[in-house]
Amino acid sequence: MVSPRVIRNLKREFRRSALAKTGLLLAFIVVFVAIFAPFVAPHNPTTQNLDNSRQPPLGFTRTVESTSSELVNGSVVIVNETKQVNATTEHPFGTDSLGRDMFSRVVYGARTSLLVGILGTLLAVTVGVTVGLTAGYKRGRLDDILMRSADISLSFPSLVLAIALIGLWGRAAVEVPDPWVVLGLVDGMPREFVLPGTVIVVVGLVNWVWFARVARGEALSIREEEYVKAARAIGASDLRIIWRHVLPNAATPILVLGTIQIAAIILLESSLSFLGFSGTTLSWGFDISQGRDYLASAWWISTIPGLAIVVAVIGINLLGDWLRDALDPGIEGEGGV
Amino acid sequence: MTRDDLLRVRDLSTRFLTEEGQVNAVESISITVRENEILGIVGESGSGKSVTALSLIDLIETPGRVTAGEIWYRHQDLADEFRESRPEAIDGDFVDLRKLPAGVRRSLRGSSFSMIFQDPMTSFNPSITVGEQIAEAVEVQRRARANPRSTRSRTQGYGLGQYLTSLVLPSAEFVSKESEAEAIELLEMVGIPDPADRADEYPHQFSGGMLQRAMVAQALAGEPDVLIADEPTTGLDVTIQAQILKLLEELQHQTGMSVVMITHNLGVIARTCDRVGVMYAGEVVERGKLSDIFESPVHPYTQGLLGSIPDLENPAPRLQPIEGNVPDLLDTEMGDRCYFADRCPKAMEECLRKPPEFEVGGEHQALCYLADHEYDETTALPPDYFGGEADG
Repeated sequence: MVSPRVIRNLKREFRRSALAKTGLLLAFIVVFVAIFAPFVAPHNPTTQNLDNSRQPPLGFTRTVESTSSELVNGSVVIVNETKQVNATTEHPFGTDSLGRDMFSRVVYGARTSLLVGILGTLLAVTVGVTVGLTAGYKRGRLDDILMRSADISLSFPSLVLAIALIGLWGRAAVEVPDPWVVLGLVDGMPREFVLPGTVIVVVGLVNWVWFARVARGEALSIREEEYVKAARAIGASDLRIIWRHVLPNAATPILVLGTIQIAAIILLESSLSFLGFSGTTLSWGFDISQGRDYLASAWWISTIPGLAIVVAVIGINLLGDWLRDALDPGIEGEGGV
Repeated sequence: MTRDDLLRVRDLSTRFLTEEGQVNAVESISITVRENEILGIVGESGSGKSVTALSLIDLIETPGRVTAGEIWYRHQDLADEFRESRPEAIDGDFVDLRKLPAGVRRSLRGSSFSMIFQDPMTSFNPSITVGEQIAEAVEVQRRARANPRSTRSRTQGYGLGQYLTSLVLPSAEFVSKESEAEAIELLEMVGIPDPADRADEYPHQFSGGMLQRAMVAQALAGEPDVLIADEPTTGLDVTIQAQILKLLEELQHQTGMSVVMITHNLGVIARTCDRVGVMYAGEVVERGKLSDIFESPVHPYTQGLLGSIPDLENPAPRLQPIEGNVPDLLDTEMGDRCYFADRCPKAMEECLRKPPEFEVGGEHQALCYLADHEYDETTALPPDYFGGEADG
């Protein structure tokens, strides 16, 4: 399925486009960090240290004004003290309101985001491509029923739909043992991480429509190819034709859409955890909502996870653009400047 | 040598329901395919040849539909199987395919009927090697034989389980090694040099003629009783055409299958066929043995077709084309008359009623009053009767 021509196109586009390089680098960093989170993170992301809360990130200081009163010679003296809290290399991104290391939290947050992004996209691809290929290949009434129901589910705003579904099903979360910790390779890190099950299902079900539409369009054109007719003439079943002839020839746009949808789903997951629907507390969106109350005094608690989202989403989108420009000669790339 | 009938098509009609109205692409045609023969179907573009072929093999798609008629196919096993449950579909050893369930009809594709198409370049999937596509045809038949139809999996092993296995185990294949070996044998049989190497090549690495051979190989994978060749030589240059026709003839002799040769090329018909049906506007207007059609054509359309090909031994100063075009077959515009009357040089008043099929003699039939009696000039229609287009 992966022909030499595809690889050549990918390489050529990669050489030509600085954005593709950036995208691959960013995406690689996010994936690497997510997989090897226990090695990358310097601290346990859940360990609190209230004595060391709201420590600023490297290069910044925080001014703390504390007012205390003392009884000096029978009268109350109010002392205004201005203290500088300095950044330490121990917490390069600072600490949050409970003294947890922001860098470790961002590292672990990559896990949640990427897992939800990838698993949610896989679910959306499975549902959407199945529906789309069936609708496009069979046409007729089945096509109408499937695609109109897709349109109906598209008419709900995705965030509202997601919240409604989570409200309906609850926030089921699965605790998955962290293989690195279980194998004893790292000490002092959380023994398991939380897989927000409901969120994955919900983001998958909210986003399947895009895949259904793309797959249907491809199936509609591929089914008219002579080789599909030829396959039917030799007695191949519909399912065989869909697997062997339609799906492989529809794979490219689905792959490109899938990459871009991972980024969209990461955004949706962050919105959901920001609103408190995620089921895990190690998530970029959740950290942003935690830091909201401290925006005036400790901006980094919200800003740093926000930047992490930006990096991940931009990286994955650039990756998607690269795949699109390289694999789909029909579209002139805007990314190749 | 008398040959037994293998396929009897009776009053088959295929209609397309389009936005402009109903198109009667095939109207009440009757043809018979015998064992071990090549039957030619000839006609202009738009005369319904290809739709006839697709109707036979049950590949008509919406908005088209086979609306009437019977396709009797001689198949002892099927006849025995359905004798009890569907007596109306059985006549001796013959079964009426249109009255059988769709699943049974599909199981006959490839194993009983097979088809080769006009353009080999588009009839192969560009992303799969030629060898694998032929092996796939072999595999479909292999699995069909391994599982009798009653217990056969509807998905032919293409279910989710198989797919997931193939993701985890790269060795899990949709096509078995035996099928691949057989595909190479098939390629050799149709005269492709270095079949083992060529099998690993993609369709774009083949020439048109080679690819048409490969398509023949694919069609033969199921050892069909009837091979339908829909304009098998149209996209090829003349020398390659001759090779392909020779190949088809040889294979027909070797395997004893029947071939339905669909073409607009009378030369191809004259060269290969035993019997011929001439189609016009969705009807078989004349049918008979090759000699009947070529030496004593009755229908003015057949005569016109023959008059429009150059004769090397006896060159006419100008060829005689048939004036006008094939009608567009829209139901509303087709009256109850002979469809050829508006182009016919010998149209008579009675041609405004639809002619029945007249016996000319032996196996020779024609859909024309001239088969019954001589041309009567006193009842001839005026030349501009159909709107005066005849001047053009």
